Amino acid sequence: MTNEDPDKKTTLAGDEGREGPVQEGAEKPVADEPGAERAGDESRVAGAPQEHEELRDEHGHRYLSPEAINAWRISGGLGSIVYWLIPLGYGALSMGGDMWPEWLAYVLGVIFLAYTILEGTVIPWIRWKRWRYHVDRNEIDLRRGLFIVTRTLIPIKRVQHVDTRQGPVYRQFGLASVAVTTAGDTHEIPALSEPVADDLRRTISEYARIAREDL
Amino acid sequence: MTEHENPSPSTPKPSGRSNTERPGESTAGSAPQNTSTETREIPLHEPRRQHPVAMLTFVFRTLRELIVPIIVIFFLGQGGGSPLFTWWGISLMLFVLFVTGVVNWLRFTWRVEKDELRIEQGLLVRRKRYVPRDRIQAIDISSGPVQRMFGLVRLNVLTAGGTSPEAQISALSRRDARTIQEALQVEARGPEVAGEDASWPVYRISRKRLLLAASTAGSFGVALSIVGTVMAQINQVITEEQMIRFVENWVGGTTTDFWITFIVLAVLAAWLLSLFGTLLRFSGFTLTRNGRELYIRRGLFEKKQITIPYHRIQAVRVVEGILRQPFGFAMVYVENAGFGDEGGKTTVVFPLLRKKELQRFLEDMLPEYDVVLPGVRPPGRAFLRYQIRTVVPALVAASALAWFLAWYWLIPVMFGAAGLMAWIRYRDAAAGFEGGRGFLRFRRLARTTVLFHRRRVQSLSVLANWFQRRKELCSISVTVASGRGGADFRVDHLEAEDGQEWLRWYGAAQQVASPADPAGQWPDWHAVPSAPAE
Repeated sequence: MTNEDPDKKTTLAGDEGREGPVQEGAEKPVADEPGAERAGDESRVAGAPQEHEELRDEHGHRYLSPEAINAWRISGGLGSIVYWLIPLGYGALSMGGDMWPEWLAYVLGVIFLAYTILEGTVIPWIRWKRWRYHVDRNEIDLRRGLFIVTRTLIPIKRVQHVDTRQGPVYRQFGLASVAVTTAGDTHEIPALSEPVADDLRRTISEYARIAREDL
Repeated sequence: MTEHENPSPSTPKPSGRSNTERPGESTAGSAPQNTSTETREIPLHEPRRQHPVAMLTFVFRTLRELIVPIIVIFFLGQGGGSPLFTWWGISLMLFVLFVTGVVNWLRFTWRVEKDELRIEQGLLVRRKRYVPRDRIQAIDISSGPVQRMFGLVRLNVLTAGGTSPEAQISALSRRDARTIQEALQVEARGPEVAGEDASWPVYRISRKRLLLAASTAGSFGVALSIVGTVMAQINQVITEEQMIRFVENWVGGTTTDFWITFIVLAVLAAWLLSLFGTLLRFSGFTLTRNGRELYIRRGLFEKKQITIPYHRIQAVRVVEGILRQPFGFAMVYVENAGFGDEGGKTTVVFPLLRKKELQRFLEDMLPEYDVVLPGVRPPGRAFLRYQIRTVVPALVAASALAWFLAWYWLIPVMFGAAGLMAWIRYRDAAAGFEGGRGFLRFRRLARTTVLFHRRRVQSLSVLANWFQRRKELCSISVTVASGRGGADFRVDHLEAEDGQEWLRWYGAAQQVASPADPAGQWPDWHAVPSAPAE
């Protein structure tokens, strides 16, 4: 799946103005935690994931798979169609009585249509640009958010289990999410390419195991 | 209160400990020893049924769970078919219930074998639940009205690790319960044991306090929904016109008056409901402790005994309800992880305390949380954010109401009220940490202060929406484990730099190896000597 159109992905990554992402990605982790990344590298040789999945920012924090943008365009666009029920329902109501002004139905219709268009175009792109994750021996660091920018720290010690998840759209794009569960909540790192997701799941559960043994 | 039969108060705690080493003998050895008056014939490892009263408790429990659908069916049945149909339906249902109760009782056995409590049940699908002693956190012995009538008890096995289900034996004799407790738990637990030792503090609610707690409970959300359901049912019997006519005759006036009367009545009913609900729930509230756990006893008809091991407590919540704060009162909760029902999740550890008594209470009962921490408040520029957050939704709601009911006066009233609320929310918000402990204070309606330990925090997030980013503000959200899920606590519109401080504080803890973690230096509850030295 992911092999098919590398050009497109490169341009998407290029928009970010990232210089030499591959090399940068290769250096950083070695400084961070050599052992684990080496193990990861081996599996990468076997699984042969794409280079662009190693996109990192200036702090060495990783981006999601650029495939995420297109996957989200489809899932978000389709998902937002559900909300059309609101203007449609209101429209049906407003036809019934004069208590409900009819113009509001059109306004709502335009708003929700615009929302679907945005979800199908620019929102996934911004979301992808904003998403950053970093995992080391001590903690998981997530940065994300379109309107609400959120940074979350999850100590590895608190991780109870890790799973990968894949819906129908993600499957089409060869993507998967990694869900990290603590005793209090679940955090999802969405839209990673399948080998990266598997790798990450293994890494996190390994770290969690070590952290538990240390305790 | 009738539970005077004391589970072997003379058995000292250490003897329980020593039994742990030789679990095999303790089963055989301790049973005849402790029940010296009557020797038990049936050895513990033989499967045994519950007391036949379990059939009854099953029927009652199921009825209680189904009460709402039954009422609904009853009313609907009255409206549609003949009353005969309804009665037939109900008797049939009772019959089925009773038969199920009998079958369940027949198929339910328990035994203690190889250090496990083994429960087998189910007709078609045999369910075997073997709970090893190591996994058992506590054994909770309580009694409902039915059990009390026959002098029996219910036994709940609370297991470690929230995911594994707990086991319940719903009716058995006190003697059997005690034997199980001794065979599995070894250590005698229960409020009596804690109460024996006079050195541990005891907090008991006075009648006056209870009444005060009940009248200011204002759990309107739940109560109103019940009142709403009842009103909706009434609608089926009495039509709206009849009601309006009734009000016109008795109160006099227009439809608006009718609605006002209606609302006042509903609020009054809700208040009464919450009053009696709280009275029933917290009557006889007694909190005691020992070195390892807190014990709560409460309830009028259904007496509850709750055991909260200290190491399961995730956070302490002090809630000053809007009706209580003016009188200087607060309610104290703990969030605790693990076993379900009342023992897990959020538990009230004291229904009503004066603000002045709080510090003392924490020292006595929750000494890990008794520290006053320095904190920060939102900066002045956050005030507008609080105003907008509170006033805008209120205005939207008020406008909608005003539109439908033509109560235009509602808009300025709500505007004023929301403005005031926003100001209080702004004033009350605070967050702080020192060493390994932190607190968050915020207000929705009630002012809530959450005290927690860094090592108990499952994840920490700092959020900033577009408006906040423009003003360099942020929100802090802390997740702790609670019951089988978690609880989020959040303070809004703090200085962005404070958010970074929190991230550093929380992140830093992970960098340090666990022995050097300041949290690690605090007394472990298992190691605490048997006196509240702090």
